[in-house]
Amino acid sequence: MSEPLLEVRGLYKSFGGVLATDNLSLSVIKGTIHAIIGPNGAGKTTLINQLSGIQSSDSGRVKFGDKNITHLPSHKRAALGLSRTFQITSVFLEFTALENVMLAVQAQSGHSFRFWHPARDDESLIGPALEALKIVGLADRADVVAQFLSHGERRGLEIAMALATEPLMLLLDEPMAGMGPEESGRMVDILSQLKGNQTVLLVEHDMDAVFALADRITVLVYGAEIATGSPEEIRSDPEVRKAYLGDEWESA
Amino acid sequence: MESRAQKLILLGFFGGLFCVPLLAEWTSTPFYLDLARRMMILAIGALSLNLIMGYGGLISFGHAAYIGIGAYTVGICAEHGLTNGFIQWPLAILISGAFAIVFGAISLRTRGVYFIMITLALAQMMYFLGVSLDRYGGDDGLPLSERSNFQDLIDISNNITLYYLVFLALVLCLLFCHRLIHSRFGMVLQGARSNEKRMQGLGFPTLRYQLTAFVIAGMMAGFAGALLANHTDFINPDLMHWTRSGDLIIMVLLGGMGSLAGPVIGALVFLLLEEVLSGITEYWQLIFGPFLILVVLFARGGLLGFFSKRGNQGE
Amino acid sequence: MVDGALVFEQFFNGIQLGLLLFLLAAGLTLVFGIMDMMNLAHGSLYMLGAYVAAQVTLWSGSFLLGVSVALPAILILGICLEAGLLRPLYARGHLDQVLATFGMILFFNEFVRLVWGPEGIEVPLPSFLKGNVVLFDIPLPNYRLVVIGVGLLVALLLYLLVTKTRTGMLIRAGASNREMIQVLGVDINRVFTLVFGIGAALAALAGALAGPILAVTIGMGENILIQVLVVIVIGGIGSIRGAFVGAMLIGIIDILGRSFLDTFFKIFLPVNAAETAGPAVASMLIYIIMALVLFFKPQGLFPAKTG
Repeated sequence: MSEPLLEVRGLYKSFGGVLATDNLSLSVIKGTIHAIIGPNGAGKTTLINQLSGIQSSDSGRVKFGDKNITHLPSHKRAALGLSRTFQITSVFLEFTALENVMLAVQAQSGHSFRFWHPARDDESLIGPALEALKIVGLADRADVVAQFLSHGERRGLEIAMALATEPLMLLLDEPMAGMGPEESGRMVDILSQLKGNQTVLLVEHDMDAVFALADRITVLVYGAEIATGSPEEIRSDPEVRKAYLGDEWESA
Repeated sequence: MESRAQKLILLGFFGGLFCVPLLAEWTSTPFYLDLARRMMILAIGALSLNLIMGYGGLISFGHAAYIGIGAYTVGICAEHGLTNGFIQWPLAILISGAFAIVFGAISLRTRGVYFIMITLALAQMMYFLGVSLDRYGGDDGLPLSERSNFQDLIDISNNITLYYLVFLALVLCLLFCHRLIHSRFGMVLQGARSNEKRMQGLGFPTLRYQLTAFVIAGMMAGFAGALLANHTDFINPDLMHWTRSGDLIIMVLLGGMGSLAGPVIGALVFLLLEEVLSGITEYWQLIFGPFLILVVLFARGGLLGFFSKRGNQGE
Repeated sequence: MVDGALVFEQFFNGIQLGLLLFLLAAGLTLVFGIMDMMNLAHGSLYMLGAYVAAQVTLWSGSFLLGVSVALPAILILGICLEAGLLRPLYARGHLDQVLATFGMILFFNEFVRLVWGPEGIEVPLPSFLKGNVVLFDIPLPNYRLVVIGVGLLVALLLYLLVTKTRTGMLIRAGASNREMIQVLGVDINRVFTLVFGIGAALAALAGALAGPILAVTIGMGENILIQVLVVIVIGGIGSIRGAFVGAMLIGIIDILGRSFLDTFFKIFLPVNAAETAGPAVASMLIYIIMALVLFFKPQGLFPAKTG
């Protein structure tokens, strides 16, 4: 049995009287894609915010590898290898795709008080950056200025930048947000490449994508976990059907 | 990457600059020598400002202060009998750098409108300081008792020799800026201009890079100040007045902020405009003011921008 | 030994300067805060207000008429500038705004030089305000008392406007979070024009009042603008309360510093050093204060922004 890379135990978070996270526990096994789904308002983004360290939890425990990261601030969690992407894309529009990823690589390779050698010719930056771009299928768009990339391509670029920091685990907050069917399909292809190599916690609304990618799924309703299991188990779970009645969920 | 057209313009430009002293001799108009030399010195100042403003995104309205500090260092040294250029000039650079660290540390705690105002206020403070120093001329200024002495290496009391030294200095500064912008350091600086929060999210402590850039720019401006003191043989607080900082910003804008050598062209255009317009009318700023407004409204990317290829901008 | 009466008199002058600074800072801080616009030409409006008031006073012999003409004249000029030249600049960055308003300064300075010459105008004190009120054996010029009175009245009116009226609420909301009020359906252009107009009127008033006591010359706008910027930085962008506190602080410290710093230095420095250091430090004093405030509070004393 594989070791969980991320272990969450009894997480609570409330805003005023509203319970956003209600006694949540989950484990993400190394090398798997674990998806979080649930109707709107289920507290999915709040959960990611707590896991990445932007928001503090009221109680509970988060373990990453063998470290207790419950009280660690976000940049320290990033340094430990827990990388996240955001719902709203935030790349460097004036730089090319390659330069964007090279920056992410550069951030991990010591200080940048180097004043003389051209960075754009630096193989130690180009190599890993191109690798990351290949994974997300943007290798042939490497020299395009980010401003001229499509929305979907920019989302892919975000993932490339997260990958370039050589993370131990990725937290992806709605990577398919704002995408049409074609772009979503491409994103699913990209993410399926990560299966087995990366550990991913994925929050998504797009059910097709979730069922295509996830090894395990947790269903969140009003901040509480109502079911966890393989895609087949979730699909046939009566509790889950009840929760989603009338929503994107139709009998499959 | 700078386009072909830009490179050709620059080459022609420097070729022309190189020949100016010869032309001036030939036509017996030393005035042009003077004008071109002044332009080159201000171009160094504008180049240094472009580092932090064009590439760093930090709009400093107090950059002229560092030129003044460099000039005053040379002037005050000479006043006390220290005319050795090998000591004066490095001292000018170091002292401007020291002020830049302090002013930068204060100003970089803020951004946006605050940053502009604080850099403006700090520079104006230096102006008032200069005015209040009666020992060194105060409002009337300080004549340079003797030009910087480099012993047998070079004699800059000769105007033409000084001209070529300034020419060399400009070329070296241009090369230095070029390497700096394309280096890892330059990438961080530009990334921070593009999206500061994202840079921090990637793990870059952006403040220390910006402060470093601020200090480098200050030192280069101090160097320009040392040259300026020798050029005019006179130092006065007006060098540090905030309108001089405004002039530098205008030069960077006119030349186009997206390019490395733009400020050089900008300095030329600015000084030429000043000369030509003041020849037409005493009230030349009546024309220059609106001209500036029009450039801002309609000529995005400055004059050099007109000549560069649009599309793959990233420089 | 320091003359107590002199200290009091200079303190009084400091308050008067502070209130003048407040008139300018209140308008400008709103422009910075609500419109996020770097308007350097505010000083030019002050200068033009002073010149127009001075000229009308000289023609008509009535100071009151001078002020009453200057205010609407500059208000109209300000609104035209805002609608015509400044509006395209809102969307641009600060750099473009700095440069365009810098261009305006150059133009206005030269325009004034063309029309009135380089010498400036001497504005005589209005005759009905000549003379002093004597308080504790100290003569306090009537005119300065009036300036203080007007300044305090304006401060009170602004306070009432901002806290008690709907318009004021819009202004405060705009200063705190501009995007929010747009989302709420407010026509942002009307708010901007209003804010700019208030600023222009206040600047004109300050200029007109300053005429008899400060010098009406070219460049007077820029001289005082720097001090106004220091006030705004200290007080916090977008905050009228901050502008008031900052202005009083700067006005009093500046005047007292210039008058008494060398005397103060003489306590522990040799006379020569004190006489050099005194004026030097006095001229830098308000900037040192600014740096100190920023060190502890980078957003100023009463920052308005929340969004």
